Amino acid sequence: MKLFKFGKNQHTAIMAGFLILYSLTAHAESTTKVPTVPYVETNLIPEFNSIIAGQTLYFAISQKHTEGWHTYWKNPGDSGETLSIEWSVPEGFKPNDIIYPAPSPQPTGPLMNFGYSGENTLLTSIDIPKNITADTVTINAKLSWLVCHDICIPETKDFSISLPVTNQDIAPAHPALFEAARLSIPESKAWQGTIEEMNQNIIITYQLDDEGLLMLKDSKNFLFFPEEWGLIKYAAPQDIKVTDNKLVVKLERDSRALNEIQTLNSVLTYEDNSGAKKSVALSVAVMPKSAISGGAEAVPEKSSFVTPPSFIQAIFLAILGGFILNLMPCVFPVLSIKTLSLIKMSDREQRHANLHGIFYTLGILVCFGVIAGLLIILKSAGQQIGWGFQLQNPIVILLLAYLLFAMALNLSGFFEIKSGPLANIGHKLASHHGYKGSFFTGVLATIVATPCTAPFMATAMGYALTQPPFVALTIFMALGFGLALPYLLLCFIPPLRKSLPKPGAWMETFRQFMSFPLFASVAWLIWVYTQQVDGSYGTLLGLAGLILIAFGIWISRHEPKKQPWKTGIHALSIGSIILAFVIAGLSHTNATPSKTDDMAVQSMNHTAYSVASLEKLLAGNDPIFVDMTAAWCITCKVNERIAIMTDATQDLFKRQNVQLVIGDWTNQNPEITKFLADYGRNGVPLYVFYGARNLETGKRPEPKILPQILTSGIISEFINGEE
Amino acid sequence: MKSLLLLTLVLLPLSSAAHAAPEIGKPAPEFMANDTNGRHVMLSELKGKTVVLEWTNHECPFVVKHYGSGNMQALQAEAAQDGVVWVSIVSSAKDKQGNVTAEEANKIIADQKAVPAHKILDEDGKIGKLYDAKTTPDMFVINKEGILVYKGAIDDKSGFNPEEIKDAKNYIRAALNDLKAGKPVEVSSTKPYGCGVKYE
Repeated sequence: MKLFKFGKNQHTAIMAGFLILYSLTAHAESTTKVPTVPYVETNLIPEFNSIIAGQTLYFAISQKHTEGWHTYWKNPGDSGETLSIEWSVPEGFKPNDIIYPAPSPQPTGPLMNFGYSGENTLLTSIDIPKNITADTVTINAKLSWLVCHDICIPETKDFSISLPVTNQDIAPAHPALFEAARLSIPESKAWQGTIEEMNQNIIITYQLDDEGLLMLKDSKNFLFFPEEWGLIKYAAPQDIKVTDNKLVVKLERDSRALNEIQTLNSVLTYEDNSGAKKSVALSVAVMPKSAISGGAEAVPEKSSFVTPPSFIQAIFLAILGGFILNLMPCVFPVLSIKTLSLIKMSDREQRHANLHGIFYTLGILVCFGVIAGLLIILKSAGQQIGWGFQLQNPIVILLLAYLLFAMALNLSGFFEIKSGPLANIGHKLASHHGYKGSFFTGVLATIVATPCTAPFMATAMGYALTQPPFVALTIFMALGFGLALPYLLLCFIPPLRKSLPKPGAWMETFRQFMSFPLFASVAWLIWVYTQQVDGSYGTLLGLAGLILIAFGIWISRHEPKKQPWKTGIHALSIGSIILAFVIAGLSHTNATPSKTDDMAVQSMNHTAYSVASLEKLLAGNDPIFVDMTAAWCITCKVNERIAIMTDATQDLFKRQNVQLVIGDWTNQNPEITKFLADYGRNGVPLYVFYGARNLETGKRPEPKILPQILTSGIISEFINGEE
Repeated sequence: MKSLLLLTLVLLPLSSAAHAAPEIGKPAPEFMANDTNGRHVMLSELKGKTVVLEWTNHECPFVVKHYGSGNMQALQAEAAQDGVVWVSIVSSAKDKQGNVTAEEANKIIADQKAVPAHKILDEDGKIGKLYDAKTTPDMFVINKEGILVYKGAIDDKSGFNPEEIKDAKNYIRAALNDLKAGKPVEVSSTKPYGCGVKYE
């Protein structure tokens, strides 16, 4: 048979025919718009090739990304979309959530995303019901994901998986795939965490156990991936380190409110000391559990309201506070007398003025160190105390009163001390006792300074006692330095000394005059004492103690020369003083610590502070003004008289229905100590204003802290919301 | 010296606050630019009117979802009827996806049958970064007094399937309705979804 031969014309005809056919099919292809190869090759693979009733069947979602393209984690980051599955399963089958391996950062320009590139496998599962009637089960799934390079492409893929139902265990179909997938899932760790906001950062501190410490201490390249959106700036650098036995994660804050979430889950990735990439899944509770159930509003989250000073700021505040302390009536006389002795120094001694200044400063610093150390130890032993704690003890108050009284008597000329450390208070400046004397004058200055607080001190003290001991101690030293500063300057700067008046008879008068601020301090301490002790005999006992001291001193100066009178009088003198001390020792505090005895304050309409009473008021709608005060706190008492108790303020309170809550910290009160601590403070006064509840939103505005020096004007500004 | 240090300490936190992300309840950051028709647009001049800012990129699948389905255009038309000023903003950098010239932008508006009051080409990304715009779409609603009252997603269904739009809760519609009724905006901040804004 001869083959049909294609001539030239037939070639053309057949070519044309093919061309027409081709163009027709090409047109058909372009209308279906199916991409030829997806940017991520995705497969849905069941762990077992059979269905067993009552069990959970795991699926691996394996993804192979085209080079340079990525998909997204559970929290995709600044943009993007995580993978989603639309299941179509028979009745009773329950699909579960996707389980993600540890993500990697996927930066794009200034934005940061979290996700995967190269090859990775997600996991998911379906719970299979106990009763299945069919022999075969078909599971359909439509997987959708977003894959991005610098542009993004949404992709989908449909799967239909039919599996036989058996009741026998069979071997897994892809053991290696599933084992690798499971190993890449971050391991959950139960490390306890706390979260706080400070300045523009969020700081999460996890307490590491031994295993955790071992895992993390030599590791590096930590990265923190939160599951919640909007809390941190994803593109910002993260500051994560292991210190002591804690993992501290410091992240730059974004704008979503922390109180919108209960728990923050996250993944931490890192490289261990062999360079292997590891990851853990962590969790931290955000909302503190409210003590009240039901509708009552818990006391608002306070960590975000307090912007504590930085370390440097606290140091400066402490120095400033210490400097101003010199003007307080308890310290000023000591400073003046010390200055007097400077003036009286002979020219030869002047050259040693520097050393006097240094020893005085040392005395102050050592004494502050001891007090600070005591405070820190007591605090870490769990005592609910703050600055001024020593004044919550009436024994300490009365002894301080005795000391100041004795000093005042000395200054007034009632008696002289010829030698010993206190001689510097008096005229003489025994040269070889000089330096030691200066040292003890410094100690004395510190002791008498303790009842007084100066502005700026409270913030610095409050900050100090929330910090590790070393930091706290440094701030106390700064306070002491501030206290020593005026005298130190006088000692080191001769021109300053030259500007002081020349020695003369006026000095004796001045010295006697200085006894009066000290007497005034004594009067005030006795007033505090009477508010602290039980019963109405407080005033009498305190004053009796003072008289005994004075008598003991006087009588020792009039010892007759002849025995046995000499010994007798000597004994009487000592006996008086001892009796005074016994009175002090027997003082015990008022049975109802939180109620103030200050009659003037009592006259104001107020509620005594307690955790319960404040919460009750907070559950209502009225604005609330909280005044944390103490009898021994001069600033508090002044503020009360010139700002809170004024007619203007009392009228304002009445008009706006402001509920006044007064917390009296004169004696120890752990509830008040805790309240102060929540606001980053460690002493009084503290004034907090809770605005009225907005009846539309049902929420109160954030509580506001008022300044420590008040006026009626400042109070009305805060209450009228102008602040 | 001490006072200078203290002054610096006081000012330091202030300087970092100078570029903080826009906050709900605070004045929206001021910006000015020419739109694709050469008209000058300045946010402070729009006081007295509600303003909606919409970050867009006509090639992003999520934007396509809302424009392809007619959802965005419908929203823009509703807004226009109420005197709300709708500003679409393109912050794609040069040579990045979505970057267009003014003519191209106007052609896209015509093709989409979109009705924004203005479209601004923010090629250097300044306005985008000022508002911390992360995605396309990313939406901001500013009230008549110039206060930012909403920022975040256009609705609560973040997939790219247009089918889900009809069941989604549209946050912009809700915010505009709240403002019209004189009520505070109920949902003021949500997680925006979409493709990343193509900054440089």
